[in-house]
Amino acid sequence: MQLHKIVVEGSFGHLYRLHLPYEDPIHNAIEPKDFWDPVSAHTFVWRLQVNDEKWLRILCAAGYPPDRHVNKVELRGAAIKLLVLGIINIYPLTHLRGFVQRARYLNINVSHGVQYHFIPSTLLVVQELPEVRFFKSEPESATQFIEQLALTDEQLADVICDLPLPFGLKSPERTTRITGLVHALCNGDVAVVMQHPNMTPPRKNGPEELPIEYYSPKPMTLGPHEEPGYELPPSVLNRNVLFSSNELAGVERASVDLLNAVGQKRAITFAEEGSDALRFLDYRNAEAAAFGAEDILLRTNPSKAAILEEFLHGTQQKLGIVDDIGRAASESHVKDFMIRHQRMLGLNTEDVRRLQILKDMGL
Amino acid sequence: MSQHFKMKVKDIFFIDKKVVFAGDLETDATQISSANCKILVDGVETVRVKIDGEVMGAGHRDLWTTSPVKLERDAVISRDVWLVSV
Repeated sequence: MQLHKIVVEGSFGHLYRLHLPYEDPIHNAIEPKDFWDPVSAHTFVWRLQVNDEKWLRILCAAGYPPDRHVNKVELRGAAIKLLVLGIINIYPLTHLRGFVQRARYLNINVSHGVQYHFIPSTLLVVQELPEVRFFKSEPESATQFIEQLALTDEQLADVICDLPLPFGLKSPERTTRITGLVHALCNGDVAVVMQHPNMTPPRKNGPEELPIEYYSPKPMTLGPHEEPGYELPPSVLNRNVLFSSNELAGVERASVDLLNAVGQKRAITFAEEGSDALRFLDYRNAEAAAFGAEDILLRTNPSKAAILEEFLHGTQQKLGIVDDIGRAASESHVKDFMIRHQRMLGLNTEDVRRLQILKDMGL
Repeated sequence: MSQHFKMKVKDIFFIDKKVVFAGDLETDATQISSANCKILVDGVETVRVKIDGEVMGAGHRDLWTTSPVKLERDAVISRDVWLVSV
């Protein structure tokens, strides 16, 4: 059976479209993820939230079915080869964050930090996602949506300047411009993409050691998701993406208190959209990185496990452990420490399970 | 332990005041810490920098420095750039 428009989730919640050889070509303005060596592809594939059954279906659909019963490692090994050979291409759905086209398609801030941007539908690698909204044959809804954005004339001009409007693009009349935008939305030529906010706490300076509460065996509450009766919001439950037990990034988000506490001991850089820092983490397929004993690089809204691990790498550096046993062994060493001291660090069972898998994989 | 190494630089990242070199690291050392090295562009030494260490993390072995590096990413990608310990 042929599969189409497969969307998978990688580490850190990033979404990717897997493009198989028989699918319609993607717009050439959108570049696939570049895997210049098997290491990049290996790390990427192992961190995708795709289970064995799904990989098997993908390999069969791509025209490279395994010729015998293969195990988890061999399945992913075959997928890695197809990625490196360019038979399967990976397209990051960064347009959902307004990143790729940020310079061209204005992000519009609305309440609660939510942002929208308008984008030509030809540039959407995947259209069937909750974050993407079309107004096909819904002119009233489209008009209401635009009105509630309360765009200034200048913003409106920025919004429409690179969109395929049937008319109104060069009109001096605001109403004509809006009508042209409504038509484009209703024709399906333009879509609206919603972008959720990220948490970026301020950086602080302070004394050396992590506050005592982070070494305390007392259980910590990191937010409402830990409270009894908490249910995942519908926006998460209804996401049209593939989930499996192969999620390896940290689950629990770091609390602001933890970020601030670590920020008092280490210089934290948050990888912002469009920065070299984010490009670097994407290249490494990493949630975070540590530079020496003092510097930590994090994605925005990092997981608790990631920030603790990078903090502990700094401690390893200070104690000379990294110089003694090397970088790769230090990775295993720190994960082993975290697993053994899971209660002290307040790590939950799922995070510990993922740490164990990463440790076993040598990642 | 010997810290001799050379790296075919395939990409470069400017992160705050740090510069990260990514590429194929050739060395017998399990860990590169502080080390002086030279940057060769198309076989010509252009500058010497002090590498501060390896970026912690599994998989890739990337080197970082706080030394000023006047290299454009385009040059790294299009030209033959090597980082060689001295």
